Amino acid sequence: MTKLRIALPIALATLAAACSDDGGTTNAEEVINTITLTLTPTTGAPVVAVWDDADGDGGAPPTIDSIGLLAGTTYATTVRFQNTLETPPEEITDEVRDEGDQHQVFFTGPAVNGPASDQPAAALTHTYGDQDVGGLPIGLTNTIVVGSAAGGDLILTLRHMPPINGTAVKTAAAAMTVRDRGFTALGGENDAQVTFPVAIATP
Amino acid sequence: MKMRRAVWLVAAAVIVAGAGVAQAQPAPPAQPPPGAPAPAPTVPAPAPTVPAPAPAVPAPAPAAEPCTRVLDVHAVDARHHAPLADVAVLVDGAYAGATEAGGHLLAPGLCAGVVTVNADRPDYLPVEVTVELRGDRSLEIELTPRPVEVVVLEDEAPPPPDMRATTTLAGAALERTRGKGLADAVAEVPGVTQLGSGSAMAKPVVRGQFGRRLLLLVDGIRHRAQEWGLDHAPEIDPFVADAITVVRGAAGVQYGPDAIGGAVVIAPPALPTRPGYVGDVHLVGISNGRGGAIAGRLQAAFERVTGLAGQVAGSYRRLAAPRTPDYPLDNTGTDEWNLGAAVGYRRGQAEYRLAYTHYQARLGVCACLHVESSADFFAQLERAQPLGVELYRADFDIERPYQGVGHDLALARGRWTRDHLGTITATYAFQHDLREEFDVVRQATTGPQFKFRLTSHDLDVALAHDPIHLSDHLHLRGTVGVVGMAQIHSYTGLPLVPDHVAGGGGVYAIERLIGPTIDVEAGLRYDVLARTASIVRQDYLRLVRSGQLAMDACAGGVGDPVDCRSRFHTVSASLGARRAFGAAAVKLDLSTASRPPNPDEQYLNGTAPTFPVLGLGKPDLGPETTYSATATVEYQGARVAAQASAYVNRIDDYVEFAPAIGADGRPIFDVLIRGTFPRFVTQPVDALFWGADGGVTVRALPWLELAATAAAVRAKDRRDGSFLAFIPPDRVRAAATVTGARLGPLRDVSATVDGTATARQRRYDLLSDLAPPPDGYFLLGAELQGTLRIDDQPLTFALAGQNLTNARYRDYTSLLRYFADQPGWQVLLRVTGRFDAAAQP
Repeated sequence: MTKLRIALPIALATLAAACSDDGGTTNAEEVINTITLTLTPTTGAPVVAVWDDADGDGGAPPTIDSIGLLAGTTYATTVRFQNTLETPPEEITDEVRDEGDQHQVFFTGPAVNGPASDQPAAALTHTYGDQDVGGLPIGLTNTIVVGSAAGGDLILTLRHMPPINGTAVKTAAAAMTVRDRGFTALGGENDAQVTFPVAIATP
Repeated sequence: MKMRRAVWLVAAAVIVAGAGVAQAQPAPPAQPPPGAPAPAPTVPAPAPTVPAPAPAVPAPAPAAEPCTRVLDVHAVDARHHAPLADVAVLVDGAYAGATEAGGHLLAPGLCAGVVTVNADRPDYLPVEVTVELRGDRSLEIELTPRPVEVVVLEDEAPPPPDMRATTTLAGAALERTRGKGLADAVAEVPGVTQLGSGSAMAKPVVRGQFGRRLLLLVDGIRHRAQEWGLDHAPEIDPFVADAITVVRGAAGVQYGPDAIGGAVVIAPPALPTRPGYVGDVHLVGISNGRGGAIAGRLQAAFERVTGLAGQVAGSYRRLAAPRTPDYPLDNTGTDEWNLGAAVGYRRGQAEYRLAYTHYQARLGVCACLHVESSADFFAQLERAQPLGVELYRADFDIERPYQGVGHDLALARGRWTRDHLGTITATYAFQHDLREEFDVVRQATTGPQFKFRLTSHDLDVALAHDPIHLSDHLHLRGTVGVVGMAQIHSYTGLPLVPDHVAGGGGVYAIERLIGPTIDVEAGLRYDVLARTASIVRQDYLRLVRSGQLAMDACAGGVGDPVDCRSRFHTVSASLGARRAFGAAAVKLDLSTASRPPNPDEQYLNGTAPTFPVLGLGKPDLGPETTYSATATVEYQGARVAAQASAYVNRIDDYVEFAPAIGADGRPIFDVLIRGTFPRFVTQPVDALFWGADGGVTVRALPWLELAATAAAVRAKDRRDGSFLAFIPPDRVRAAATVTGARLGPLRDVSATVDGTATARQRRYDLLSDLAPPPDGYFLLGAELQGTLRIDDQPLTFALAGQNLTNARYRDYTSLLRYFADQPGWQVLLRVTGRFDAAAQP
């Protein structure tokens, strides 16, 4: 009995150690720490603005580029989401596109007029340029037309709206809901919500 | 997830071996555990086995003086001087009564002269003593156990009364809680509430202390798990318990520095000693959740191998999401099981036990919890119902977000009694705790977002020495022990807490001076804990940049991971006294204990699923030290039983998780990629807890029992007088029970109506509470119970209703309160069967 009493714990401990599989897991998390806006004018060089939290939540504050645009210009605008904390960086944009029926990017803020932001006097006019499988906008590809007004802030939000009990939460009314009642009236949760300052130059 | 007002415990200490095991207090009307030897009758028929001794000398002729002498009889076991209850005492052939739990009996009205005293208990040899009475005198009678040929049937000496307020749920009281989770089961005890975050995720709160500051003891083993997270329910199935004892008040010496707030002691049943089988089966159906629980236990003592016994026990609980009065709490289903076995062997003065239990649960997190952004969280507070509630369902599906938790406990224990020394108990325990939390993610992401694995080894050796006789009526009983612990924690997932390895040890001694009416107990304990946290370099740098840590604070700031070492030396001490006044007793306890910080309190680093805040630890935290005083009054009469307790608990360097305040006196906010989040940090503050709780039970009529309990606790930050968060509001409960009726074939039919009133917490600090406390509420319950006897085996049926008025309410100590209401009314049907096919003694 004495031998058994000692042997069992040792056996259990050995077993536990043998089963340990920690440390090797990757991609278990879902992190976005870098957002890149690329605004390509019909002619001329693209404008690239990056919102980058190089060390993730907390720690050093993020670096935020200002978006410098020209009045009277139309920009084809794409949004890219990445996790650069991983090596190599993880491309989240593809995941968003793959699950486009649960995701939508919204452009709001004082500088924006568009489906989610009712500010006719704002400098930037946003329209969606892509569709998910159900024909609803995703917002990874967009068009932004710059008027002559002054700049301001552009708030870019990636909302994840997974279905609840099989019923879609992302609907055609999503942008309108944000425009009329704000994000807090919209289902789902923010995967990202960042603010870019916008500066507009006159050509 | 893991944020909260820091409360937790430690890593270092281990449990006092035998101390936690036998906590059966005399409390409620306990049924004998299956297989336990039938207790001696409280009032034995006069001298069962002793031939009524004709006094050798006829009663002395009364002298001229009146017969006013008092003889104080103290019955003890001759081997170890444990007091013996229920010993029938005859004085000069006349039955004088039976000794009480402390082994005492007062025989008043005796005449001076020589008297003959007989003492008898069925399992001991009768004793006859002749003494001369001149004045009052006390007499200790040592009884020797009857020699037993086959199996040693020996009651363990009852533990001495605790110096703190304790309440034990056993027998019928425990039966009423079957089907509930652990925290829910003990929530009826005065001073106990629960901290919840969903239907099945709740942890007990004792006098405002929980998690790290409240020890959970299972089968004498300190439960080692991820108790620091506010939404981490203990991985314990209450079906394993035969008795649950709640110790209210600091119990650091006995249980280690993490028992600052008290202890919940979960004791499985003793293994049977009579050859044969005994067991019980429980079936519970629950209407709100459309599910239920099934549990069973089979115990056997084997005839072929004398002294060998074993048990297997298991349970399964499956519930759909419950409904509030207005809507379902989507995705809060429960899927939980537990399976365990134990083997015991007794031979001579040695006893061995091997036990293993596995617990597994999958617990859904309410779809209503929105903590991904501050704006959504605060907007939710303004809503009467969660957003999207029209899509919610009360179904069995458990989808992301959910928690998957597993816990293994294996233990080996040996107990040896040595004449002229005492009882040595050695226990080794291995625990493996795996907690995985799954968030709502994109399909490309698989697996848990948080995965914690904790492996613990505990070793505990204790010697309960034989009582030392200082005089006839003054004895010293006590226990000395050493404990050791080794622990490995590994974590993967979103940035949150580091891996760590820890080792520690402790020594303690508790001695109790037992007098005729007063007991005095003193204890001293020393613990050391060494811990190395391995912080991923990226996380380390983040702590440095957040200003929580100097770059060279750990290992010169080099390496990946960076190793941060901490070593804590802590001392616990206690001094308690208990004075009996007939059926009443007064207890006083003074305690101090120090609790080292938990790794999360030191190194927390990330946003939490439970709150939309960025949480940061404080790596240079020291131990927090509590100084507490508790006074308890108890009365145990024939018709009235009452207990009331008041306490004050000062905690220096109390680790609090609270908003970080900047140099400008305003809260700090951090810009994260999901928006702006308030920053919360762990910080030492000086706290003061005080309060009172108690209960009274009155048998007003032979068929009517009235009961009431009440509890109040206050907690403040002594620096600025601000209130601490998550302190339970005041609560009163009253119940009336009609007993003894018959209803058709049902016997022992009883009907109970109870009401619980919970006040609104008016003492709060909006900054750390995030939202004002919800309104007070009243819950009405009722229960009808009866027993059917089939073949002389009892089958008990109970129909219970909870929240019968379907009250809409939110609980201040539940994380759910920010998002949704508590579940509405429900009905439980409980069937309990017991069988006993063991040889009768």
